[in-house]
Amino acid sequence: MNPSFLLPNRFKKIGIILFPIGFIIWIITQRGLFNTDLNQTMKVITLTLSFFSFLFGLYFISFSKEPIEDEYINSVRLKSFQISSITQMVFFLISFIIMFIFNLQPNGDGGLSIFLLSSILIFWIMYMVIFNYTLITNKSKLDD
Amino acid sequence: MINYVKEIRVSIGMTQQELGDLLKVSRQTIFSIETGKYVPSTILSLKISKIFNKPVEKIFVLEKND
Repeated sequence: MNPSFLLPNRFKKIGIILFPIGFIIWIITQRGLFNTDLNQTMKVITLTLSFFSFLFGLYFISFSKEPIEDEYINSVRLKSFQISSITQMVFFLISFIIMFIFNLQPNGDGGLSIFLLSSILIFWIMYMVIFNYTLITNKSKLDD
Repeated sequence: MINYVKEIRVSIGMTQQELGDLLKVSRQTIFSIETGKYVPSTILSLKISKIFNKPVEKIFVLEKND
């Protein structure tokens, strides 16, 4: 049984291109590594476009079908989701324990946004890494 | 649970790819079943038994801990 919400396999290739490009441009623009003559409007547009490129790339990689989408792939998906959700929960718990012990607070609204954003992204990045790592290591062990 | 998928497949001269094509699953899935990393569903087990023309309990055997 194939879950109907998955995208066709070609979206994975699009995601593999969008994800790193979006991430690199976003970091460069955010950090101002190449200090170009971008005015504030252009900077906001670049940040928005690159971040959405990164986000869509991540979702395309996560929600694309494999060339043969069978029950084994479904079980790997499920295991990856379970490990990712546990990782996210551990991240939350550790973060709150550290904040409580050291009496730290996210630095204003921006700090809080980054904390919440990173905790959401941790789930999807972990899922993407675990799922693809399992499939790649399994493929490399194939023998007949 | 232990299974004899690899032994039976090799004895009839079938490759992982050929078995995967007949079952409409990937070669990776066959490899994972043979190495015991993945326990197939009832549907897939019955399909394997049909292809090998052997009863399911001759291919998949429960262990004491199961």
